[in-house]
Amino acid sequence: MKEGNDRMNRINNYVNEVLSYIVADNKMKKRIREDLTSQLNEAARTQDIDSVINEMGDPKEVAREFMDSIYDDKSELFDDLLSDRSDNAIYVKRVYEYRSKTSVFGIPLVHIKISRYGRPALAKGIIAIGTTSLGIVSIGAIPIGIISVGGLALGVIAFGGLALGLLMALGGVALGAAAFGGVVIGFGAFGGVALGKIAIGGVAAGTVAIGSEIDGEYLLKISRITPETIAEAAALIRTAFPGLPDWIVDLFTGIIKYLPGN
Amino acid sequence: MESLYLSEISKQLKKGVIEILILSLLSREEMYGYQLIQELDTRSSGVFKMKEGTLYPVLYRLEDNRYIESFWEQGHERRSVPRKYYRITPTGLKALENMKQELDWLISAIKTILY
Repeated sequence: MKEGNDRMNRINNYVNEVLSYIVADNKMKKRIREDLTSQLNEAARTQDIDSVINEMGDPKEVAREFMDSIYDDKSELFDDLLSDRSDNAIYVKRVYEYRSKTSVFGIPLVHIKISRYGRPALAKGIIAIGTTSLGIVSIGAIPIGIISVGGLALGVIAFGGLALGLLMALGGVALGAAAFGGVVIGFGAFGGVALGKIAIGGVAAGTVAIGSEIDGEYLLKISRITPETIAEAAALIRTAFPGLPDWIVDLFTGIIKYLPGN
Repeated sequence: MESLYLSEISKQLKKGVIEILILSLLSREEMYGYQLIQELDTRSSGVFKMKEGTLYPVLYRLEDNRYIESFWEQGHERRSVPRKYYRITPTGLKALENMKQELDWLISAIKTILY
């Protein structure tokens, strides 16, 4: 068993080294990885793995042969190398990037740019995925967009560790018109610790405060959720904000049943 | 210098026929990459000693053109790892027939000039 694992590790390391010298898209690299791994495994049935690897040769040379055959027309290689004009081939290895050919008003439909070593990388697209991303739908460590999902998410609707959403935020710490999460601040705030005009939570402080520990102007202390307490909460919110549309009242009272301990 | 030049001609000629040879081998049976390398080497008495860096990109081109397709198969031997096999498609069989005709035509034209 241990011998088998050692062999697989040797094969994986060798194949990784070959691939590190190859400039190609991920689909091509996946094919090469599969075939080289399969071939090395096959050859290792009858020889020891060291001999097999020695026979295949210097990873740089193996990569050179692949490149020579893949880019029979060398202009394709130059296109690949020049696709990101600001970067060089070494940077290409440090940053994964995909840009869809389809674009909308000159903006790529999908742009993925992920830096491997913490180097800045900004993805910009309708759908943007990256270390930092800017798009209609943004996903990443720091996403900024209409819908943002990620570590520190900023958007109209934001989901993240720290979420700042103009309309709605959901996260560990969430700030937004409607905020849901652990610690939340918003016009409507629902969470463990909630601060807002309408605050609902374990600890709630606001104009309307509903929860276990409460502080504010219109208060409803809840120890147990029943249909009656939900009706009381709705009445309290309507009293405090008479002009508030029913669907917003329903939204907040509808989630009261999810308060911890109920 | 002369041998280098001849070696380059030989390389270009081999490159020109490798696709047809692979299709021909795969028209007889499905094979995995390492097996193809060995078959080409053995059947040509070492003339077509292919490196993996040359063979696989040709297989990828054939696969992209839908002349061949790949699939994985788990061997029955104990502790065996899955093998990636290649097999010819009906489109590949048709292409092989066309290629064979073209090659015959080309070889006959070359012979006419040379001899």
